[in-house]
Amino acid sequence: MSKARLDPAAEQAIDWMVRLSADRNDTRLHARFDTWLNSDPAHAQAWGRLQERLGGAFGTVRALDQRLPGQAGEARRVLMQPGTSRRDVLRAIGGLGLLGGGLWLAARSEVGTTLMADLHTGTGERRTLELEDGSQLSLNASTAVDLQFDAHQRLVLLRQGELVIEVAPDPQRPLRVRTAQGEIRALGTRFLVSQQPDATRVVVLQHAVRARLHDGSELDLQEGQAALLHAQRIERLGRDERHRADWLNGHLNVLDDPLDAVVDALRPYTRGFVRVAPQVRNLRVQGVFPLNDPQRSFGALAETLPIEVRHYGPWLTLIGPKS
Amino acid sequence: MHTPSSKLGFFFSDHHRWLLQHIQKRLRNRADAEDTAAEAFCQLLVARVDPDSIQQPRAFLSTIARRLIFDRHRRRQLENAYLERLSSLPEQVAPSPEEQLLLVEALVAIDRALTGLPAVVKAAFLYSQLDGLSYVEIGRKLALSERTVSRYMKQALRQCYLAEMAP
Repeated sequence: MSKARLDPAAEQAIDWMVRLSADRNDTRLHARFDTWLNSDPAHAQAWGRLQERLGGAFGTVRALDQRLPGQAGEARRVLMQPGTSRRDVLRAIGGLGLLGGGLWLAARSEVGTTLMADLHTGTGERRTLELEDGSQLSLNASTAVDLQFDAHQRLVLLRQGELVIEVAPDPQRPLRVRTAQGEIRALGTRFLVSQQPDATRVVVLQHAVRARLHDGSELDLQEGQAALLHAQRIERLGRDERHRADWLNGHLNVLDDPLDAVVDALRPYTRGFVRVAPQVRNLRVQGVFPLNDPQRSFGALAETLPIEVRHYGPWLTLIGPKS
Repeated sequence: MHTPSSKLGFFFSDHHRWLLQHIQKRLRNRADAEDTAAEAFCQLLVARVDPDSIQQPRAFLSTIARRLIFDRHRRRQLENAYLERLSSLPEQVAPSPEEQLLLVEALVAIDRALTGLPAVVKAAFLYSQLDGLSYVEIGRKLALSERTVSRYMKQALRQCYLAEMAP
């Protein structure tokens, strides 16, 4: 490793640190060190910088060791385990994950999905329309839906996003909403369906529905009840979820959700990419946020949580811990 | 007129998709890939890089991404090693989940700062900085003279001084 150049004050600060660490009980040495430190502002600055470098991470370990003796030793042993070199790692992971990458990108291409669908809404756009049978269909922002209505069936295919439907009665042609995980059949009139990354959320707003997975398992849900349809099972949700339809009035009503989920709900109203740092994803959020003004919603989140929201042009918003 | 941060926004929109695909070839998990791509742009922000000064954006971004992928891998290694050690401790002396998270962060930062140093230099430095041992004690543990311990300390401190310890 080449020897990078350090300025004289930095070299001296390091020398002092070496000497002081040799034996921490040497008081005469401490007196001489104080003289050096106070003799030149550059000394204090260099010393400060060195302590800053050593302070944070090492301090964390030492503080934990104070409370739970032995942790510093554990940390040292972990750090002394031989690491693999960068090249080894990249060679090892370079070969993985090639399969499926293309498929994933195709499936993730939301623009593609929306443009090919019968009905779709764009970023920040909500729509309510009347279908030919008299049912009322409301689409949340960034939602795509296909319709297959004929003499025998009324089928709504939710490709992406979230809808609320108020079903006109027609005993001959039951109305079904199909998602990636299963189907929801209307037994009554009004319910919400939301396609989430790996599940479908169903909330019954009036009367009842029958949820059914592609493998045939079924669950009936009554007014006020809600469930998540996973690929293999239906999870009944114990709480009342009817507030999730508040987007119809332009509000996002959050009773107790992780920040991550709240940002997911704001995403359809936000242009560009929003990233939530892992450290703050699970912060609990409560409140009512305006959907039509996502900037204001992000602002309100920043006021009530220990987070910082930074916008970089229209395309990038970063949410991280308050610095 | 564009401000540096809005320029970076456009740079992001131009290259994000490509970078994500590029990373996705190396990382199996899509959330990890999205995270790594975003992290690469975060690094540009933190470093206040002017996007106009980047001559070959793809080469530049893939270099950052490679390092981030490595860091992610190394972090997981450290985390696993630590959790494995913890699992052998009785529960009442185990740190809380928050403390564990802080400790893993600290391990990653220290590991990064000391990367490339010979193992014995690292060991001497960690005995001093983490366990608070005197050079005499360190010398005894590692079969080194006190002088050599001093020399190793200096080598490690120089590297720390130069390293960016930012998370």
